[in-house]
Amino acid sequence: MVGLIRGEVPAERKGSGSGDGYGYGDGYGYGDGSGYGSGDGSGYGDGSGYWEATIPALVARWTEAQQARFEAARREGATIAFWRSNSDGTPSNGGTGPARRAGDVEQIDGPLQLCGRRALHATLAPEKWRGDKVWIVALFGEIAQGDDKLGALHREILGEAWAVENSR
Amino acid sequence: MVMAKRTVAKERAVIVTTEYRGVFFGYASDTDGDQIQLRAARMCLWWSADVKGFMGLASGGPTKACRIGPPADITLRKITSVLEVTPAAVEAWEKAPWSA
Repeated sequence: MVGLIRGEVPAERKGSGSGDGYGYGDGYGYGDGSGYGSGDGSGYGDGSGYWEATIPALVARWTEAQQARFEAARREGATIAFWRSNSDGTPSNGGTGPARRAGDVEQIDGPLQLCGRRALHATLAPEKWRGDKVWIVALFGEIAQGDDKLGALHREILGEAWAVENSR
Repeated sequence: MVMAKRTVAKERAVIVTTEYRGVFFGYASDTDGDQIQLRAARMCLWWSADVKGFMGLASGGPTKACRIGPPADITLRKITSVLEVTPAAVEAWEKAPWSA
């Protein structure tokens, strides 16, 4: 038996009580495809800040050199975000190119344009994207923002955040 | 001389839900007020049917198929409910791989 300390179970979570649960049982978060991080899926800043808050603990697992580079990137004004790849480091969301590794620096020609080859992508809502491996990356310079995605002309792969299949 | 009595709030494992449709497990020493600070909070992005519904995350914890994010210290706002978590569920949350 579980006790409710305060509040009430949201109406949309009530239901038949078993099987698929409270009406959302096997959906994302509350079943609309999103979790908390970006609320209703609208993206960065209007959610809990959960994903950004995970970064310090993830970075703490890196080598000293990686941590130093992370701090330097922040001092340089980089936007820190996530990027997902296949387990071998190749793009898993429509990108091209070779397997990426920690330390890789990519730069492309502008003009910056999201959703194509004119942007190096990242996200603050990693749960919205596919890929067995999640990286923490730094975006430099002008940043383009779209639904659940960021883009820049200069991206550095700082380190691995976690791999879905082997995450502990 | 009278010494001020200092009390240390005891931390407990809770699940907190929010208006933003968030479901978080973590450790809180104060669950009153407009904000709740959670230590080592983990977000549940998806729970499978074998959890037996949302409340199952508090009674039995996440199962293998659930998608759970990595831990973070976070302050939550717009709280809609706070549930106590059983010891068995705490163990399941702590064992849950990062599978977001």
